[in-house]
Parts: sequence; structure tokens; C-alpha cells
Amino acid sequence: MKYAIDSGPHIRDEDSTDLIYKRLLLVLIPLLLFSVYKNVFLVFIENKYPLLDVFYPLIVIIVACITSFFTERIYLKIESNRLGYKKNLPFYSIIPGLFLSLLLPINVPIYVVILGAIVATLFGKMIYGGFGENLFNPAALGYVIIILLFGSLLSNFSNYLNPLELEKYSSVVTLDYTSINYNNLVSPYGNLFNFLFGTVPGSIGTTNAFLILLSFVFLSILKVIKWKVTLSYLLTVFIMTFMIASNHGEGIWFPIFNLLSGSLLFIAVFMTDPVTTPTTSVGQILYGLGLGVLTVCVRFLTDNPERILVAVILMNILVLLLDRLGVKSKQDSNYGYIFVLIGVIFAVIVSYFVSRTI
Amino acid sequence: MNKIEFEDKDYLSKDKLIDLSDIDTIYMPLVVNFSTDVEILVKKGKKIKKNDPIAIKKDLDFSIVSPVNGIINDISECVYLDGRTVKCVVIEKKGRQPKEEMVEDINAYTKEEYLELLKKYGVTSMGGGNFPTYIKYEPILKTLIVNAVECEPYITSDYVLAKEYFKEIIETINAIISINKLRECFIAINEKYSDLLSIYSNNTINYSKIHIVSVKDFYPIGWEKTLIKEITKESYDKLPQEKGIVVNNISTIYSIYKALKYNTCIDKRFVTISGERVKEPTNALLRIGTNLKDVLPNIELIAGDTIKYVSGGPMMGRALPKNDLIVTQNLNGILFLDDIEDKKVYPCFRCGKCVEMCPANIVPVLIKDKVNNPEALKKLNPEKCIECGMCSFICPSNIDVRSFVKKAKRSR
Repeated sequence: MKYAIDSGPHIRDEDSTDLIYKRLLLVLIPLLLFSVYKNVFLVFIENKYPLLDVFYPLIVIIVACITSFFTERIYLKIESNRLGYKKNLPFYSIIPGLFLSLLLPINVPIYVVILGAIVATLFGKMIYGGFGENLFNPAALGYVIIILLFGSLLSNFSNYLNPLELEKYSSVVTLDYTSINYNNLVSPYGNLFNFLFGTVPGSIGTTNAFLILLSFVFLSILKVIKWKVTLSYLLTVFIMTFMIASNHGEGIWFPIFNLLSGSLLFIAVFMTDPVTTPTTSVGQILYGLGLGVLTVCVRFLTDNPERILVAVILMNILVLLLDRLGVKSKQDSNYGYIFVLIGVIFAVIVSYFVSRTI
Repeated sequence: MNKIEFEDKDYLSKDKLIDLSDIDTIYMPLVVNFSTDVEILVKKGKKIKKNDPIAIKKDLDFSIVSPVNGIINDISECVYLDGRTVKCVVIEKKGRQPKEEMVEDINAYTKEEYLELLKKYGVTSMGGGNFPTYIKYEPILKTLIVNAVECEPYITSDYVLAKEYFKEIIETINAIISINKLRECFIAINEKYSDLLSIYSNNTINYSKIHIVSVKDFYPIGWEKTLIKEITKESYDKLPQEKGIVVNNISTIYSIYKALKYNTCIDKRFVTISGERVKEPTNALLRIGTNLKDVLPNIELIAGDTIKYVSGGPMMGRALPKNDLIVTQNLNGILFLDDIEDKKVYPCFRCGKCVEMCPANIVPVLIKDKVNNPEALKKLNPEKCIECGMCSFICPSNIDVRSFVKKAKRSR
């Protein structure tokens, strides 16, 4: 009989990285289906648009996934000696492209999609050593490169409209969060329920807030994502926009609108992936807080309210620092309270400043 | 959420017992508290009496004593339970074994005499640490916690001992309380051992200072810090003695009993022999110093491919390359397990589960990253690791996180 040498432990938890990422992709399916329903099916049954236009959103998603997949394959071929052991992670490789495509406007040119997916996979993930080693969220990095090279593409409101919406909303202009006015922001698209259920214009796969919230619950229970990051982010944005709204005599609709509109919820749930967020609890809470403050700044102080992903990239840089604070708090929990308190005070000051500016 | 609830494996060995203590060759590994920095006091070919020192660890002023009368046969090497090959003294049991003389009243010792006895008869913690027990009793103490929680699956040796010798244990605890002038004692028994709970509750009614506590069954409740927190709600920095608390494993209490009542060292202990590959899991009464390969022919194994031969529980134990492990005071079990086939290791994706799990409140994933950077390790306190293995257990990528932390711990 042969004896296996092993330092243990000799029993292991059954959960595995493989299963965790399969769950992540599984949870995305309803979102994808909704996107196809809204941007393809509803357009298709009108029966008056060219087929290429009808299926265009689907083509974007597929092209992004394929580009991402092959970029990783080719890179692994070239660098096989260094990254050999990572070869057996096939389906993870579509993730950067998939997430990127869901974040892009519907009428994005195909070459932009391909470029974004290559950048996301190659510079966002592979050059750091592949899955698990990356500093930046790959999809966020791809998106930021697209902002830099094709900025106008993303700020042009009509690019977010599918053929049906193009007829309906031709007169409406870009979202301007600084005009805290229900009639300007919400009324053109119905009411807040339209935002909740995603029947408003927006990026390819990020409009249905309800499904994203549902995914959040599932992913948290299944321990796929770090719920502390998402929750502290959403809370921060909610409280800050609530304060801003109060200062302008507006009610609770405004913070809710802020959470439901744009890609904010999608970013909160899917762009705060485990790899690029802190590992300590306090680090995670501070990450969410920081991202919230930056998001509010981007929305209210810049011309391009939809560029929250720049904030994600900025926060990615801070992960190591936040974890250091997290380690300190683990050793003495008093530090944790102090750090979070400082963060909250900072957020309040920023809210005050923002509401004075706009 | 730093606890794990395991599937029950205790039923395998719980109510079975065999005596395999009839053995003549005794191997004494020269290790105290995992340190091999000990000085040998004996020579090959010389006679030795039971309770005579074999080797001394100078800095702890503590000696390893011979468990038998006999002749020093050899000074050679053997496998210790942590997998290391260490120096050992081989004693051939010979001649008449000494008769055990009973001391009538063990409450009458003074504290100095008590400490001297613990030192002289080589009492160490039998739960795993192998730390000289007398040192724990040197400070002024108020509380004794007797640890009978056995939180690792499969292992039931403490249960068997606690059940077999409950009278002796209660007598000893009572003596420890009066000698050390303690305020109270808690006997912590795992809730899964309901029969032990009732035995101990019924037999301690007349002892006002002894309290029986039923503790929840989770891992690592057996760790001092977790146990103390659970019972007295107190937390300490480095040692429980800071708070006037001493924690002893229930087997150690029996070892103390031997020292107080019979003025002799402990020479036998229960060892659980269990696991999927053992046909009839059981508890064996084994002589301290037994080479397991001498007694294992009595244990029938289920044949098959690669087997894991684990010294200790499935979490803390080590799979050893050969079956010639020596029974030491701190060996509570031997497991024969199937080698898990699917051990595919994925890259770490920083899920933070090890951080959430760690009962010592350190950050295993960051220690793993910085394992070759001593400067950065300073801030991460790897020395606080208790090697419980929960980080490796939970890791979805099957990374053996603990081995990185252990390496970091040793590099300091």
C-alpha cells in the first residue's frame, strides 16, 4: 500500500472556484435574456427594421465574448511556460468581454467592441499573470480605454437607444443629474418602476435593476461576491444623494433614481469582483464608501455622469492600502470603527460640497 | 463566522476499546513543546528506572522521563507526529516494573510540592501542545478550565478517557482547586457527548466550585482562546494566564492524577484509530513510546490504492510517509483515510474566505502573498497562527493556505 504525504487538512470544503464562477455566469443568464427580450425581441416583432439592426446587440455580446476568449488563448500559447497551469480555466476567459459588452451602448461600432475586449483581456488580466492576479477590473479597464479613445461615442445619448426607442425618445436629451427635477429626469421614461424593471434606454445589459438586485441576493447567499462592498457602496450613494436632494428640497425619489439609473447597480454588483476588491471586512466597507463618494463626484461634478467605471479603476489602485487599514482593524477593532467613521464624515462633507456646487 | 460544523464521525470509534499496551520496546522522541533542543542524559547500554530523566530541555527546566524500567538499547531516530524525523532513545523494557504506591490524600500537597511533582513526572499538555504543565501553574490563578470538547471529527480518545476515569478526574480537579486556591473550575464538555455531561453533572453535585459546561460543537472550540471566550467571555492577548485562567486537556488532568496519586509519570494513553480505511475503528490503549508499526498488525485495514496515514485529527494532523510513528503523550489519534483524488489547485481570486474564517484574526491571503518578504510580514502577525487549518479547509481554490502561513511563521 502506498502512503500519500500531505500536510493537511484532510477534509476540505466542497465549494470550489470552478463552481463559484459557474454560478456567476448562471446568475447572468436572466440579465442576458432580459436584454435580448428588450433590445432584440421587442424590436423584432415590429417587423419593420433590418435584421442586422435587430440582432445587433446580440452580435456585440457574442463578438466581445469570442474576442476575449481568443485573446486569452493566444496569450496563453505565447506565454505557456509561465502560465501553463492556468490553461485549464476555459470558461473564465469570456468574462471580461461579456461584462464589457453589457456595459456598452447599443449602437457601438463592432471595432470598438473588439478593441475594448482585447484591451480588457490583455491589459486588464493576462499581462498581470491571468485569472486572479489582475490589479484592475478587466472590463472596467476596457471601458475606460474606450472612454479615452471614443469618448463622444459614450456620451452621445442616441447611441443608447435601440431602433424602437430611437423613434420614441428622439426629443429627449442626455441625463443631467445636476438638475434635480422629477419632470426632467424621470417623467420622460414613465416613472421609477420603469427604471426598476429596466424598460428605459441604457447600456446593453444593465437596465433591469430588479434582476440585478435579485442577482445580488443570490450571489451573496452563494458567496460569489463580497456583499459588504456592494452594500456599503449602495448605502453611500443613497445617503449622499439623499442629502443632496434634501438640500434642494427634493424627496426620496432622487436617491432611488440615482441607484436605479445608469449602470450603477450593475457596477455595484458585478464590477466589484473579488479579485480587485479588498479581502478584509473593513477594507471592503471602505472600498464601497470610497467608490460611492467618487461616483457622486463623477455624476455631479463632471460632464459625463456615466463614467463611474473610472471611479472603479481609481479604487482598484487603492485596494492594497485599504487592505492595510483592514489588517490594522483586525488586530484592534477600534481602528475599524475609526476608519469607517472618518470615511462617513468625509462622505458627508463631500455631499455638502456637491450640493452647494450644483 | 469563524467556525466550522463538521459531519459526525465519532460514532465510528466512540464505544470501542482494545488494549494494545503489551509492548517491550519503547521509543522516546527527544522533543519538548515541538523543540528538539534538548540535552540527552543517558548512555547506551545503561539501566534506567521508571520516572528517571532521559533528556532535559534547559530553558524550560523540564525533562522527559522514562515510562518503564529497562535498558537503554540505542539512541536512534524516529518519526514524530508532526512528520519530522527526530532523535529518540530506545528503551528495552526489562526486569520488575515498579509497584505503584497510592497517596491517600492528594489535597494535602502545597503548591510548591505540586509544581515539583508535575515537573518531576514530566506532565505535559496532552491535547497537542506538549507544553510543560507546571509552567502553566506557576502564576497566581483563579480559574481552571478542563477541556473535554474534542472538536475534530473522528477523534474520541478524550471521550473514552473521560468516561473511563471520571472518578479520578473529579478527585484530581478538586485537589488542583484546593492546592492552587482556585475560585472555580469549568469542565467544558462537547454537547455531542450527552452521556459524559450527565455523568459529570451527577458526580460533581457535592463540589460547589466545579461547574459542568456544555459547549457547542464546532471547530475550533478546542482552542484555548475560543473556549475561554465561549465560557467566561474573556479574551486575552498572548496567554490565558494573563487573566488568571489555566486550561488543561482532560487527558492532562489524568496525567496530573498519576503524578499526585501514584507519584509516577503517565505510561499509557488512549489513541483513536479510525478513518474510512479502518475496518473496525476503535480506541486503543497504548503505551507511551510504542512504535505504531509494532501494534498495527492488530488493526485490519481496507485494502485499496493510496492511503493517508494521519497523525492526529483530519484538520491538524499530518499524513506521514511511513507507518512507524511513535505514540507520544500528545498523540490523540491515528486516521487511515482515502487520498482525495480531485485536488486541482486554482489560482487565488481573493475571495477573502480565509480572512473571514481565521479564528486568530490574521489575514492568511495577504500572508501568502508576502511569504517571501519578511519586512512586510512584520505587520501581518503570522506568529499568531494556531495552524488550525481552517483557511486551507475553506479555500475554494484548494490552495494549502496554512502551509504558507506556517512558513511565514517560521521565517520570523
